[in-house]
Amino acid sequence: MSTWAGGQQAQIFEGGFRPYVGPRLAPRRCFRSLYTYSLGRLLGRKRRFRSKLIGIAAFFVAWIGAVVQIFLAGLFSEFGELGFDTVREYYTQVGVGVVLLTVLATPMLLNTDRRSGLLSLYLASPLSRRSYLNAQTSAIFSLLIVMSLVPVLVLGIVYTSLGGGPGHTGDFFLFVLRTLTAALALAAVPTALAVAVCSLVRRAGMAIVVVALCLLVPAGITSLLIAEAGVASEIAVLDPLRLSRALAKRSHALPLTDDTPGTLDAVATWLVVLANLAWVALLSAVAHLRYGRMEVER
Amino acid sequence: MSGSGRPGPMLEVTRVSKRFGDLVAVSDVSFRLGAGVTALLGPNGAGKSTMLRMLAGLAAPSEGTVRVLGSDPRADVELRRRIGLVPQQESLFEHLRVREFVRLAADLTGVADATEATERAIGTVGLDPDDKRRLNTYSKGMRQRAKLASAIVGGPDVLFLDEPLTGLDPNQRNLMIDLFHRIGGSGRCVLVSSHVLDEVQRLGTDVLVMGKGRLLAEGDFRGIRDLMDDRPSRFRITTDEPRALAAGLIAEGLAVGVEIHEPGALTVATASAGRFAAAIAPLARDSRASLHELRPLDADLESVFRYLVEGR
Repeated sequence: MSTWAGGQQAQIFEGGFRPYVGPRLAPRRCFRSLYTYSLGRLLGRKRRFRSKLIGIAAFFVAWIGAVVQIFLAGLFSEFGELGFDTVREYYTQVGVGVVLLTVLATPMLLNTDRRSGLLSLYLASPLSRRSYLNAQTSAIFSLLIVMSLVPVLVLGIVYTSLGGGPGHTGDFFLFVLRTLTAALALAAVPTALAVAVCSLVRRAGMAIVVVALCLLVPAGITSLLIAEAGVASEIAVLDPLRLSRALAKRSHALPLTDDTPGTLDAVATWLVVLANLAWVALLSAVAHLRYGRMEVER
Repeated sequence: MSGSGRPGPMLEVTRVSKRFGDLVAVSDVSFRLGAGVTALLGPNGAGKSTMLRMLAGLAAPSEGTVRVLGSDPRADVELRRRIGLVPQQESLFEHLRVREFVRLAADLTGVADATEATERAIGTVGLDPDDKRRLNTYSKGMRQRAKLASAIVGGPDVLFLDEPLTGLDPNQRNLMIDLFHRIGGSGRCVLVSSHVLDEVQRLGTDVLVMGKGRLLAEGDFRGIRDLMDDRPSRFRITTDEPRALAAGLIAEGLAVGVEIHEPGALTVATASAGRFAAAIAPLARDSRASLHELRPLDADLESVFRYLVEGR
């Protein structure tokens, strides 16, 4: 028998378990992995069709109006010339999509993780509770930004190319900047609210109901208080949806002419900005505090 | 218990308690573990899963300290790259295929060559990396193996497995136990929880026994049995002179009870198993009895478990 390296007659190289001994990537790669995976989950990627329905419905509602407008602008030249003014008011439709995605998708992401035990797998990896929550929030937030940004931006580009948009390049870039700010404004408070509610409520179904109530009920209450009880219109900053839409509207420097009770047109811009920031800060603090203390039960 | 593979303990639990409101899930538990396979044994509700969650950094102890490889697993994010966890629950990533599931775990642990590591881990547990079926169509045993693959894909130094053998057929169970031993034998610390005595007995001799949130015993279960000195050890002896041998045992004070229940066989209860084992051969010679068989009747894990957990 030959003598192999080391003077031994034989050696076993494969024992069935070979541990990974290669290099390891920075923790931010773990964050990115979770972020990418959660984006896919929100859109129902690699899932059955019914899991994709929430994303499809939300994007359909948010974008269908823009698609129709682009179609009409392509067919009738007068739409192309007049349509640009309507672009900046497209946010009502986008807002419906934002509500749909926030209400239905956020609990499916966060609450399902807790109930199914996925949270324990994530937190057993090099993800802290904070980075887990940030990755999930970023996934929801970026999807809402895309939802808000794309239709308005595409409409702006189409109308500009048809001669109805800003005449100068600088004005167009200002429009893009305003659109981006509006998208951020539209997505920030609803995302923070949904994440905070999901951190406090255990079951996904209950979280869906509570997020919906928190987004929709304050509009009625604040309007009623302003119209019937004569409360100052500043109280409308307690309505998260109206507040985010008000900031989006101001991002585009639209005229503030609506004096319907409950609208924020009469409220100073600095207060609208401050109220948005305060909502986001408060709700983020709630979510981080809750996740920081959360017992992983499964 | 401190293994020989590494200089210090790989796990160090010091006076750890965990309360959920009024419920005390874990009460004042301390132990140290080194490399190798250790079974965490206890009935349902003993606090095993809570202990594993604290060791994996998923839950904070109400009191006491947990150290894994010298660090606090809850605070040290980098440390968690070196920890693998197989949780008990089933509903994990059910819509994914095994390759996608293990790949996600590889990405989360920051493995640079995730593709190669994924294939290797899936192959190690005996699954097919190219299986197109989703995990929700897998049998329970296959899902257990997929979870194990996701836990070992990052090459952890410490592996926590919560009831990992549930649902496996005997062949798969043997393969998994063999794998645990290979992982433990490669200088890693493997802690396997189970409430099934048969499983634990095959996992090895090192056990931590928990009951009602307390650590009831630790160490080699045969050593634990020897410490149960308030309970006589029982031996079955087959001999050609049972009466003579029985008389000799009683005369020497080696037996607290003798029972001759069939020709040529007697059962002896002794307060000191060590003394009995040392004296039985000379005594048989003096009594002119041939010893055909000497077998301990309650030196097994089941006996230890009954004594510690059920008090009988």
